[in-house]
Amino acid sequence: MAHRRRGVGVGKKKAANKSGPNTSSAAQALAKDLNEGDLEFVKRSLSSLETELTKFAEMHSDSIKTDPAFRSKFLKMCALLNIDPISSKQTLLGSALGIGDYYYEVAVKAAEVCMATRTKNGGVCSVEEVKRLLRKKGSSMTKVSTDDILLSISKLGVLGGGFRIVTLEKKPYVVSVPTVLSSDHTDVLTVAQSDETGVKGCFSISDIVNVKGWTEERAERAVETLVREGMAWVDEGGAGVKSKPQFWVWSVFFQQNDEDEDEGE
Amino acid sequence: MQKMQIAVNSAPAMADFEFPEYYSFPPFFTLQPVSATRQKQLALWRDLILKYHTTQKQNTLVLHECKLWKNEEIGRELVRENIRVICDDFVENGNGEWEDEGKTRLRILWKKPEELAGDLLAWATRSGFIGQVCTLYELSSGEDSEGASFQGADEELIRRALAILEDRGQVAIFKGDTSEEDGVKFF
Repeated sequence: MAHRRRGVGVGKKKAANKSGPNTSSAAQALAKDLNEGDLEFVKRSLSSLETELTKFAEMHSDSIKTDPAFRSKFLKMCALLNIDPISSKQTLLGSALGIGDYYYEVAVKAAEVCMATRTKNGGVCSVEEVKRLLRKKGSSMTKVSTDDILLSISKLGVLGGGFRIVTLEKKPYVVSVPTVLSSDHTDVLTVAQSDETGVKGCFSISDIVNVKGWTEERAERAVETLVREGMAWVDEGGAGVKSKPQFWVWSVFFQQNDEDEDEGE
Repeated sequence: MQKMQIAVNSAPAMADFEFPEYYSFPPFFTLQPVSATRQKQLALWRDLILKYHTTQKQNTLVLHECKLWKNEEIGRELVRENIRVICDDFVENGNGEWEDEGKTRLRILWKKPEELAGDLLAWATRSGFIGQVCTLYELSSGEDSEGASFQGADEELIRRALAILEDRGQVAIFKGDTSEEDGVKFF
Protein backbone atom coordinates (compact mmCIF):
# COMPACT_ATOMS: atom_id res chain seq x y z
CA MET A 1 0.00 0.00 0.00
CA ALA A 2 2.81 2.32 0.89
CA HIS A 3 4.35 1.60 -2.44
CA ARG A 4 1.16 2.54 -4.23
CA ARG A 5 1.09 5.86 -2.43
CA ARG A 6 4.57 6.55 -3.48
CA GLY A 7 3.59 5.61 -6.98
CA VAL A 8 0.90 8.24 -6.89
CA GLY A 9 3.47 10.83 -5.88
CA VAL A 10 5.77 9.92 -8.73
CA GLY A 11 2.88 9.91 -11.13
CA LYS A 12 1.92 13.39 -10.06
CA LYS A 13 5.43 14.53 -10.60
CA LYS A 14 5.30 13.32 -14.14
CA ALA A 15 1.93 14.90 -14.60
CA ALA A 16 3.27 18.19 -13.26
CA ASN A 17 6.13 18.07 -15.73
CA LYS A 18 3.78 17.53 -18.58
CA SER A 19 1.38 20.22 -17.59
CA GLY A 20 3.70 23.02 -18.62
CA PRO A 21 6.10 25.47 -16.97
CA ASN A 22 7.30 24.82 -13.40
CA THR A 23 5.97 27.31 -10.95
CA SER A 24 7.52 27.53 -7.52
CA SER A 25 4.19 26.86 -5.82
CA ALA A 26 3.68 23.72 -7.87
CA ALA A 27 7.16 22.56 -6.94
CA GLN A 28 6.49 23.21 -3.25
CA ALA A 29 3.24 21.31 -3.37
CA LEU A 30 5.02 18.50 -5.10
CA ALA A 31 7.83 18.44 -2.52
CA LYS A 32 5.32 18.43 0.29
CA ASP A 33 3.42 15.60 -1.26
CA LEU A 34 6.60 13.64 -1.82
CA ASN A 35 7.81 14.13 1.73
CA GLU A 36 4.49 13.14 3.20
CA GLY A 37 4.45 10.06 1.09
CA ASP A 38 8.00 9.11 2.07
CA LEU A 39 7.45 9.80 5.75
CA GLU A 40 4.30 7.74 5.74
CA PHE A 41 6.18 4.96 4.01
CA VAL A 42 9.03 5.01 6.50
CA LYS A 43 6.64 5.14 9.46
CA ARG A 44 4.69 2.21 8.19
CA SER A 45 7.82 0.25 7.40
CA LEU A 46 9.19 0.86 10.85
CA SER A 47 6.01 -0.06 12.63
CA SER A 48 5.64 -3.21 10.58
CA LEU A 49 9.28 -3.98 11.30
CA GLU A 50 8.65 -3.58 15.00
CA THR A 51 5.62 -5.85 14.73
CA GLU A 52 7.70 -8.39 12.88
CA LEU A 53 10.48 -8.04 15.42
CA THR A 54 8.04 -8.61 18.24
CA LYS A 55 6.66 -11.69 16.49
CA PHE A 56 10.18 -12.89 15.96
CA ALA A 57 11.07 -12.23 19.59
CA GLU A 58 8.02 -14.09 20.81
CA MET A 59 8.76 -17.02 18.55
CA HIS A 60 12.37 -17.22 19.68
CA SER A 61 11.99 -15.97 23.21
CA ASP A 62 13.53 -19.15 24.63
CA SER A 63 16.59 -18.84 22.44
CA ILE A 64 16.91 -15.18 23.30
CA LYS A 65 16.80 -15.96 26.98
CA THR A 66 19.05 -19.00 26.99
CA ASP A 67 21.48 -18.56 24.12
CA PRO A 68 23.96 -15.73 24.72
CA ALA A 69 25.16 -15.60 21.11
CA PHE A 70 21.61 -15.46 19.77
CA ARG A 71 20.70 -12.82 22.34
CA SER A 72 23.67 -10.71 21.43
CA LYS A 73 22.72 -10.76 17.72
CA PHE A 74 19.13 -10.01 18.52
CA LEU A 75 20.13 -7.01 20.61
CA LYS A 76 22.39 -5.73 17.85
CA MET A 77 19.46 -5.96 15.47
CA CYS A 78 17.31 -4.01 17.91
CA ALA A 79 20.02 -1.40 18.29
CA LEU A 80 20.11 -0.88 14.51
CA LEU A 81 16.41 -0.11 14.63
CA ASN A 82 16.93 2.14 17.60
CA ILE A 83 14.73 -0.05 19.77
CA ASP A 84 15.77 -0.73 23.33
CA PRO A 85 14.06 -3.88 24.58
CA ILE A 86 15.93 -3.78 27.86
CA SER A 87 15.22 -0.61 29.70
CA SER A 88 11.71 -0.02 28.44
CA LYS A 89 8.87 -2.25 29.45
CA GLN A 90 6.49 0.18 27.79
CA THR A 91 7.30 -1.02 24.33
CA LEU A 92 5.40 -3.93 22.97
CA LEU A 93 8.68 -5.71 22.44
CA GLY A 94 9.98 -5.21 25.94
CA SER A 95 6.83 -6.44 27.58
CA ALA A 96 6.44 -9.39 25.22
CA LEU A 97 9.92 -10.57 25.90
CA GLY A 98 10.52 -9.77 29.52
CA ILE A 99 14.13 -9.41 28.49
CA GLY A 100 14.41 -6.35 30.69
CA ASP A 101 13.71 -8.62 33.65
CA TYR A 102 16.57 -10.82 32.65
CA TYR A 103 19.04 -7.97 32.51
CA TYR A 104 17.67 -6.60 35.71
CA GLU A 105 18.40 -9.94 37.32
CA VAL A 106 21.92 -10.06 35.87
CA ALA A 107 22.53 -6.53 37.13
CA VAL A 108 21.32 -7.31 40.65
CA LYS A 109 23.27 -10.54 40.87
CA ALA A 110 26.40 -8.97 39.39
CA ALA A 111 26.09 -6.22 41.99
CA GLU A 112 25.80 -8.87 44.71
CA VAL A 113 28.93 -10.62 43.49
CA CYS A 114 30.84 -7.34 43.41
CA MET A 115 29.74 -6.50 46.95
CA ALA A 116 30.63 -9.94 48.25
CA THR A 117 34.15 -9.84 46.83
CA ARG A 118 34.76 -6.19 47.63
CA THR A 119 36.80 -6.69 50.78
CA LYS A 120 39.24 -8.91 48.93
CA ASN A 121 39.60 -6.97 45.70
CA GLY A 122 38.72 -3.47 46.86
CA GLY A 123 35.80 -3.25 44.47
CA VAL A 124 37.73 -4.00 41.30
CA CYS A 125 36.60 -7.29 39.85
CA SER A 126 37.27 -8.60 36.37
CA VAL A 127 34.18 -9.20 34.27
CA GLU A 128 35.47 -12.74 33.72
CA GLU A 129 35.41 -13.33 37.47
CA VAL A 130 31.92 -11.84 37.78
CA LYS A 131 30.83 -14.20 35.02
CA ARG A 132 32.39 -17.20 36.71
CA LEU A 133 30.74 -16.40 40.03
CA LEU A 134 27.37 -15.69 38.41
CA ARG A 135 27.47 -18.98 36.56
CA LYS A 136 28.20 -20.75 39.82
CA LYS A 137 24.98 -19.31 41.19
CA GLY A 138 23.22 -21.57 38.77
CA SER A 139 19.63 -21.58 37.54
CA SER A 140 19.01 -18.67 35.21
CA MET A 141 22.63 -17.52 35.36
CA THR A 142 24.39 -20.61 34.02
CA LYS A 143 24.68 -19.19 30.53
CA VAL A 144 25.27 -15.54 31.30
CA SER A 145 27.71 -13.98 28.83
CA THR A 146 30.33 -11.28 29.07
CA ASP A 147 28.16 -9.04 26.88
CA ASP A 148 25.20 -9.51 29.22
CA ILE A 149 27.29 -8.36 32.16
CA LEU A 150 28.75 -5.37 30.33
CA LEU A 151 25.27 -4.32 29.26
CA SER A 152 23.75 -4.80 32.72
CA ILE A 153 26.50 -2.86 34.43
CA SER A 154 26.06 -0.03 31.95
CA LYS A 155 22.40 0.10 33.00
CA LEU A 156 23.38 -0.01 36.68
CA GLY A 157 25.73 2.89 36.14
CA VAL A 158 22.76 5.11 35.44
CA LEU A 159 21.68 4.60 39.04
CA GLY A 160 24.95 5.91 40.40
CA GLY A 161 26.58 4.07 43.29
CA GLY A 162 29.85 3.95 41.44
CA PHE A 163 29.19 0.88 39.30
CA ARG A 164 31.12 1.16 36.10
CA ILE A 165 33.35 -0.67 33.67
CA VAL A 166 37.04 0.19 33.48
CA THR A 167 39.14 -1.32 30.73
CA LEU A 168 42.73 -2.17 31.60
CA GLU A 169 44.87 -3.51 28.79
CA LYS A 170 41.72 -4.47 26.86
CA LYS A 171 40.34 -6.44 29.79
CA PRO A 172 37.09 -5.16 31.25
CA TYR A 173 36.78 -4.79 35.02
CA VAL A 174 33.76 -3.88 37.08
CA VAL A 175 34.50 -1.13 39.56
CA SER A 176 31.88 -1.17 42.30
CA VAL A 177 33.13 1.54 44.65
CA PRO A 178 32.45 5.24 44.37
CA THR A 179 36.17 5.96 44.77
CA VAL A 180 37.19 8.27 42.00
CA LEU A 181 39.98 6.56 40.10
CA SER A 182 42.21 9.12 38.48
CA SER A 183 44.11 8.24 35.35
CA ASP A 184 47.16 7.70 37.56
CA HIS A 185 45.32 4.97 39.44
CA THR A 186 44.13 3.21 36.33
CA ASP A 187 47.64 3.57 34.88
CA VAL A 188 49.04 1.72 37.89
CA LEU A 189 46.38 -0.99 37.54
CA THR A 190 47.23 -1.22 33.87
CA VAL A 191 50.88 -1.82 34.73
CA ALA A 192 49.68 -4.58 37.09
CA GLN A 193 47.59 -6.04 34.29
CA SER A 194 50.40 -5.96 31.74
CA ASP A 195 53.19 -8.48 31.55
CA GLU A 196 55.86 -5.82 31.68
CA THR A 197 56.63 -6.61 35.30
CA GLY A 198 57.06 -10.30 34.59
CA VAL A 199 54.18 -11.49 36.74
CA LYS A 200 50.58 -10.50 36.17
CA GLY A 201 48.89 -8.75 39.04
CA CYS A 202 52.16 -7.65 40.62
CA PHE A 203 54.08 -4.40 40.59
CA SER A 204 56.52 -2.39 42.68
CA ILE A 205 57.06 1.33 42.95
CA SER A 206 60.15 1.07 40.77
CA ASP A 207 58.16 -0.84 38.11
CA ILE A 208 55.78 2.07 37.91
CA VAL A 209 58.63 4.57 37.76
CA ASN A 210 60.31 2.58 34.98
CA VAL A 211 57.24 1.93 32.89
CA LYS A 212 55.51 5.27 33.26
CA GLY A 213 58.50 7.52 33.72
CA TRP A 214 56.93 9.08 36.81
CA THR A 215 58.71 10.38 39.87
CA GLU A 216 58.78 8.03 42.82
CA GLU A 217 56.48 10.35 44.82
CA ARG A 218 53.85 10.30 42.11
CA ALA A 219 53.95 6.49 41.92
CA GLU A 220 53.79 6.18 45.70
CA ARG A 221 50.81 8.50 45.93
CA ALA A 222 48.83 6.50 43.37
CA VAL A 223 49.77 3.16 44.93
CA GLU A 224 48.91 4.39 48.41
CA THR A 225 45.36 5.12 47.32
CA LEU A 226 44.99 1.69 45.75
CA VAL A 227 46.23 0.04 48.94
CA ARG A 228 44.03 2.19 51.15
CA GLU A 229 41.00 1.31 49.04
CA GLY A 230 41.85 -2.39 49.28
CA MET A 231 42.45 -2.74 45.56
CA ALA A 232 46.07 -3.72 46.06
CA TRP A 233 47.61 -5.94 48.76
CA VAL A 234 51.05 -5.34 50.23
CA ASP A 235 53.64 -8.11 49.95
CA GLU A 236 56.78 -7.81 52.03
CA GLY A 237 58.21 -10.98 50.60
CA GLY A 238 57.79 -13.28 53.56
CA ALA A 239 59.95 -13.98 56.58
CA GLY A 240 63.58 -13.00 56.56
CA VAL A 241 63.48 -11.32 53.18
CA LYS A 242 64.20 -7.63 53.47
CA SER A 243 63.20 -6.49 50.05
CA LYS A 244 61.18 -3.52 48.96
CA PRO A 245 57.49 -4.24 49.14
CA GLN A 246 55.60 -5.40 46.12
CA PHE A 247 51.93 -4.88 45.51
CA TRP A 248 49.43 -7.35 44.18
CA VAL A 249 46.06 -6.72 42.66
CA TRP A 250 43.74 -9.52 43.74
CA SER A 251 41.41 -9.36 40.75
CA VAL A 252 44.23 -9.32 38.20
CA PHE A 253 46.16 -12.11 39.92
CA PHE A 254 43.19 -14.44 40.04
CA GLN A 255 42.04 -13.58 36.58
CA GLN A 256 45.28 -15.07 35.41
CA ASN A 257 44.21 -18.35 36.94
CA ASP A 258 40.81 -18.09 35.30
CA GLU A 259 42.48 -17.94 31.93
CA ASP A 260 44.44 -21.06 32.72
CA GLU A 261 41.20 -22.73 33.61
CA ASP A 262 39.58 -21.75 30.32
CA GLU A 263 42.48 -23.13 28.38
CA GLY A 264 42.23 -26.37 30.26
CA GLU A 265 38.59 -26.83 29.43
CA MET B 1 41.38 -23.85 38.52
CA GLN B 2 44.89 -24.72 39.48
CA LYS B 3 44.82 -26.23 42.92
CA MET B 4 48.02 -27.11 44.62
CA GLN B 5 48.27 -30.58 45.96
CA ILE B 6 50.73 -30.55 48.78
CA ALA B 7 51.44 -33.81 50.48
CA VAL B 8 51.72 -33.49 54.21
CA ASN B 9 54.64 -35.58 55.25
CA SER B 10 54.40 -35.82 59.02
CA ALA B 11 51.77 -38.55 59.15
CA PRO B 12 51.45 -41.05 56.34
CA ALA B 13 47.76 -41.63 56.94
CA MET B 14 46.89 -38.02 56.13
CA ALA B 15 45.16 -37.32 52.91
CA ASP B 16 46.41 -34.63 50.58
CA PHE B 17 44.85 -31.30 51.28
CA GLU B 18 43.50 -29.14 48.50
CA PHE B 19 44.62 -25.61 49.25
CA PRO B 20 42.31 -22.73 48.36
CA GLU B 21 43.54 -20.52 45.55
CA TYR B 22 44.29 -17.60 47.86
CA TYR B 23 47.02 -19.72 49.46
CA SER B 24 49.09 -18.95 46.36
CA PHE B 25 48.47 -15.19 46.59
CA PRO B 26 51.85 -13.89 47.80
CA PRO B 27 50.59 -10.98 49.98
CA PHE B 28 48.43 -13.46 51.89
CA PHE B 29 51.61 -14.02 53.93
CA THR B 30 52.11 -10.34 54.79
CA LEU B 31 49.79 -8.93 57.41
CA GLN B 32 47.85 -6.26 55.55
CA PRO B 33 48.24 -2.71 56.86
CA VAL B 34 44.76 -1.57 55.84
CA SER B 35 42.14 -2.60 58.36
CA ALA B 36 39.35 -3.71 56.01
CA THR B 37 41.73 -5.78 53.94
CA ARG B 38 43.32 -7.23 57.06
CA GLN B 39 39.94 -8.30 58.45
CA LYS B 40 39.26 -10.14 55.22
CA GLN B 41 42.71 -11.68 55.32
CA LEU B 42 42.25 -12.90 58.90
CA ALA B 43 38.89 -14.42 57.95
CA LEU B 44 40.59 -16.28 55.10
CA TRP B 45 43.26 -17.56 57.51
CA ARG B 46 40.56 -18.74 59.96
CA ASP B 47 38.86 -20.59 57.12
CA LEU B 48 42.08 -22.19 56.00
CA ILE B 49 43.17 -23.30 59.50
CA LEU B 50 39.76 -24.72 60.22
CA LYS B 51 39.38 -26.55 56.89
CA TYR B 52 42.90 -27.89 57.07
CA HIS B 53 42.48 -29.32 60.54
CA THR B 54 39.01 -30.73 60.00
CA THR B 55 39.93 -32.50 56.77
CA GLN B 56 43.15 -33.78 58.31
CA LYS B 57 41.20 -34.81 61.42
CA GLN B 58 43.66 -32.93 63.61
CA ASN B 59 42.54 -31.40 66.88
CA THR B 60 45.63 -29.50 67.85
CA LEU B 61 47.74 -26.94 66.07
CA VAL B 62 51.29 -26.78 67.40
CA LEU B 63 52.50 -23.28 66.58
CA HIS B 64 56.08 -24.05 65.69
CA GLU B 65 55.21 -27.19 63.73
CA CYS B 66 52.27 -26.07 61.66
CA LYS B 67 52.96 -26.37 57.95
CA LEU B 68 50.43 -23.77 56.89
CA TRP B 69 52.64 -20.80 57.73
CA LYS B 70 54.94 -21.45 54.81
CA ASN B 71 54.16 -21.90 51.14
CA GLU B 72 57.38 -23.03 49.52
CA GLU B 73 55.90 -23.03 46.03
CA ILE B 74 55.70 -19.24 46.04
CA GLY B 75 58.52 -18.65 48.53
CA ARG B 76 56.38 -16.92 51.12
CA GLU B 77 56.27 -17.40 54.86
CA LEU B 78 54.57 -15.68 57.76
CA VAL B 79 56.83 -13.98 60.28
CA ARG B 80 56.44 -15.16 63.87
CA GLU B 81 54.59 -12.14 65.21
CA ASN B 82 52.02 -12.44 62.44
CA ILE B 83 51.45 -16.12 63.20
CA ARG B 84 50.59 -14.91 66.69
CA VAL B 85 48.17 -12.29 65.35
CA ILE B 86 46.42 -14.87 63.18
CA CYS B 87 46.14 -17.39 66.03
CA ASP B 88 44.90 -14.79 68.50
CA ASP B 89 42.24 -13.78 66.02
CA PHE B 90 41.33 -17.44 65.56
CA VAL B 91 40.79 -17.80 69.31
CA GLU B 92 38.94 -14.50 69.65
CA ASN B 93 36.57 -15.64 66.97
CA GLY B 94 35.67 -18.73 68.99
CA ASN B 95 37.26 -21.21 66.57
CA GLY B 96 39.93 -22.38 68.99
CA GLU B 97 41.39 -22.26 72.48
CA TRP B 98 44.90 -22.16 73.85
CA GLU B 99 45.79 -25.45 75.48
CA ASP B 100 48.68 -24.00 77.49
CA GLU B 101 49.54 -20.71 79.13
CA GLY B 102 52.54 -20.19 76.91
CA LYS B 103 50.25 -20.19 73.88
CA THR B 104 52.19 -22.78 71.93
CA ARG B 105 49.37 -25.24 71.34
CA LEU B 106 46.02 -24.36 69.92
CA ARG B 107 42.99 -26.60 70.28
CA ILE B 108 41.01 -26.35 67.09
CA LEU B 109 37.26 -26.39 67.60
CA TRP B 110 36.30 -27.95 64.30
CA LYS B 111 32.92 -26.46 64.69
CA LYS B 112 31.49 -24.17 67.28
CA PRO B 113 29.74 -26.24 69.97
CA GLU B 114 26.32 -24.95 68.88
CA GLU B 115 26.95 -26.03 65.30
CA LEU B 116 28.18 -29.42 66.41
CA ALA B 117 25.11 -29.84 68.61
CA GLY B 118 22.96 -29.38 65.51
CA ASP B 119 25.08 -31.91 63.61
CA LEU B 120 24.79 -34.46 66.42
CA LEU B 121 21.04 -34.18 66.53
CA ALA B 122 20.68 -34.34 62.76
CA TRP B 123 22.90 -37.39 62.68
CA ALA B 124 20.92 -39.13 65.45
CA THR B 125 17.67 -38.45 63.61
CA ARG B 126 19.04 -39.64 60.30
CA SER B 127 20.66 -42.77 61.68
CA GLY B 128 17.74 -43.80 63.86
CA PHE B 129 19.42 -43.11 67.19
CA ILE B 130 16.50 -41.17 68.65
CA GLY B 131 15.42 -43.07 71.74
CA GLN B 132 18.64 -45.09 71.69
CA VAL B 133 21.71 -44.93 73.86
CA CYS B 134 25.24 -44.75 72.56
CA THR B 135 28.56 -44.04 74.23
CA LEU B 136 30.73 -41.01 73.77
CA TYR B 137 33.37 -43.29 72.26
CA GLU B 138 30.89 -44.50 69.67
CA LEU B 139 30.07 -40.94 68.73
CA SER B 140 33.65 -39.91 68.13
CA SER B 141 35.08 -43.17 66.84
CA GLY B 142 32.27 -45.63 66.15
CA GLU B 143 31.28 -47.07 62.80
CA ASP B 144 27.92 -45.38 62.88
CA SER B 145 29.44 -41.91 62.91
CA GLU B 146 31.63 -42.65 59.89
CA GLY B 147 31.75 -39.52 57.77
CA ALA B 148 29.95 -37.37 60.34
CA SER B 149 31.38 -33.94 61.09
CA PHE B 150 32.14 -34.93 64.68
CA GLN B 151 33.94 -38.14 63.87
CA GLY B 152 37.35 -37.94 65.50
CA ALA B 153 36.49 -34.61 67.09
CA ASP B 154 38.01 -33.53 70.37
CA GLU B 155 36.18 -35.20 73.25
CA GLU B 156 35.93 -31.91 75.10
CA LEU B 157 34.24 -30.34 72.10
CA ILE B 158 31.71 -33.16 71.77
CA ARG B 159 30.94 -32.86 75.49
CA ARG B 160 30.24 -29.17 75.14
CA ALA B 161 27.91 -29.79 72.21
CA LEU B 162 26.11 -32.50 74.20
CA ALA B 163 25.79 -30.15 77.18
CA ILE B 164 23.94 -27.71 74.92
CA LEU B 165 21.58 -30.46 73.82
CA GLU B 166 21.14 -31.58 77.44
CA ASP B 167 20.12 -28.05 78.42
CA ARG B 168 17.51 -28.16 75.72
CA GLY B 169 16.29 -31.53 76.94
CA GLN B 170 17.25 -33.24 73.71
CA VAL B 171 19.73 -35.69 75.24
CA ALA B 172 20.41 -37.25 78.63
CA ILE B 173 23.96 -38.10 79.65
CA PHE B 174 24.79 -41.06 81.91
CA LYS B 175 28.03 -41.64 83.75
CA GLY B 176 29.98 -44.64 82.50
CA ASP B 177 32.96 -46.44 84.03
CA THR B 178 35.37 -44.27 82.10
CA SER B 179 34.72 -40.94 80.52
CA GLU B 180 34.65 -42.51 77.06
CA GLU B 181 31.94 -44.87 78.20
CA ASP B 182 29.62 -42.11 79.24
CA GLY B 183 26.28 -42.83 77.65
CA VAL B 184 24.14 -40.47 75.61
CA LYS B 185 20.46 -40.96 75.03
CA PHE B 186 18.84 -38.92 72.27
CA PHE B 187 15.22 -37.84 72.61
